[in-house]
Amino acid sequence: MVTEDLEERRLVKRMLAHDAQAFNAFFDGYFSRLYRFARTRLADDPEITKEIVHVTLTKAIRKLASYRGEASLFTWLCTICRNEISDHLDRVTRDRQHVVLTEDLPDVRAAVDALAAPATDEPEDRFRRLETTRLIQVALDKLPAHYGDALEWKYVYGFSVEEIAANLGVGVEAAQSLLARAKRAFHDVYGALTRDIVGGGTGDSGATEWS
Amino acid sequence: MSERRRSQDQGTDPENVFRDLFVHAAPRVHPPAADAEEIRRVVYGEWDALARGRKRVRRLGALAAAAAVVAAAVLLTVGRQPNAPVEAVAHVERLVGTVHVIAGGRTLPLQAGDDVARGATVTTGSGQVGLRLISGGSLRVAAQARVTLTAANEAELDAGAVYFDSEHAAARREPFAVVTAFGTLRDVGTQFAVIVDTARLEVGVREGRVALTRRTDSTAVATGEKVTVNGAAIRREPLSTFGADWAWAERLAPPFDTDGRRLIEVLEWVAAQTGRTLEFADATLERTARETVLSGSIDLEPLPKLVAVLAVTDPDLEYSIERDRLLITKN
Repeated sequence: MVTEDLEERRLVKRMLAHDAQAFNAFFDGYFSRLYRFARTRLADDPEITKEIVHVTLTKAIRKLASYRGEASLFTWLCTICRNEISDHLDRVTRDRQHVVLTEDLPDVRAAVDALAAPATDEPEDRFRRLETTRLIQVALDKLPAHYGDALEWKYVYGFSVEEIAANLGVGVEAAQSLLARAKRAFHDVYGALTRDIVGGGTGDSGATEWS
Repeated sequence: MSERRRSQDQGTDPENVFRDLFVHAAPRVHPPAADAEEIRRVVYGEWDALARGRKRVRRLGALAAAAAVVAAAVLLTVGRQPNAPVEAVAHVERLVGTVHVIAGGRTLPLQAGDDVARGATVTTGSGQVGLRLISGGSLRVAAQARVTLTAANEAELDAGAVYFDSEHAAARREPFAVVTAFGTLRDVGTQFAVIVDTARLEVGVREGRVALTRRTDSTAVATGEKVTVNGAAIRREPLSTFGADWAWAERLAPPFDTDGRRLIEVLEWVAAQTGRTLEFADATLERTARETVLSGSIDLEPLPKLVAVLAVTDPDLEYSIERDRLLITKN
């Protein structure tokens, strides 16, 4: 993660130096993830999401010189985005309950427990499965973009390592190595999302078994 | 105890544990391509102005701080010159008959070499068109089709058939997507065809793999498969990667300049365009193909081009087609 932080600070530095490739890397690496971050917090409304993400990125660009790398770039963008969402909801309603994030709630334990539970059609089980699905997506979006993409291609779409290598423009061995790093990073992030729920031990979540 | 050892002791394969968890996963939502393009352009303008302003401010180093602030403010405004991404998302590479484009409220006939702007709708009528995508790859539109290029990486197919060839563009930033009323298709290094009518969607994959995403689910379509979506029903069946079903797309294959290329490159191109595997009768022939450099070029469809190239290279070279094989032999 230290390397990632360093790379992010370099990316910002290059953007400030008017490097167009850096701008493209920034937009391609963060836009989709930020969009999903906003959309899940805005009742899945595409129009408002578009507006909020637009404003967030515009403000982020204006504040770019103030980014010091204390947090990851994505976390920094999410902070700006959270403020925008909060302002938006303040404008449209006083009911703040709509912005409570599920992954911040103790109830997430239920979602993790549901992994081992037999599938049923009960509404509560269905809700838990949906939440688990969403938590996996949250974890994928917290990873560097190419890690999240590679894991999604492999485990959601079922692509082979060769196909992932072709898609990333790297060799098969490099893709395998990247997948291994991505799995470890996912383990850390997903573990952090669920740690409070499973009593502070990653072993209870099964996460240690993915290394 | 190592983590791996512990998991083995528990009788659990780490890879399987990972797969089991991802059984619960679904594809992440992709922002609408048109929205992404729009926001990219606006944010780019903001960034361009800011970064240009900073660059110039640095050059003014000796000026007083107050003067620098004023200068930066002025330059910020001046810097808002349009240096944004280009509007054109494709250009016409092949044209058969008359094809129209609807853009900006006007309908015009397309000409070879024309740019096609983002948001333009192409209607083929009895014609056909092959488009070179700025983002990489070839998009071929069959007769009686209507398709809108909504973004550099996305087309909306209302009716008819399109064929997409990524041409192994590993450098693509995002997959190319074909959006239909029945679901969205995204490529992963692919050649695939999509057909839409009022009742159903058909997707056939010739090479690579395509992800078909509908409201809440996603399915992969692999090489040699055809998937038909009709309402809620999905039917999967084998599909030949060569033959008459693909002939229309082969006729719209992009030009291939042979000048300075090795013979093997031409042979591989013909094999890829016709959905076949290239084979040589012996290793000597393959070595010859790798060592032979061609001079000059002629613009023909794949198989006529193969005949012409073999004739001028070595009259004794021949080809034969046996189902999915393109075999090179010598008399």
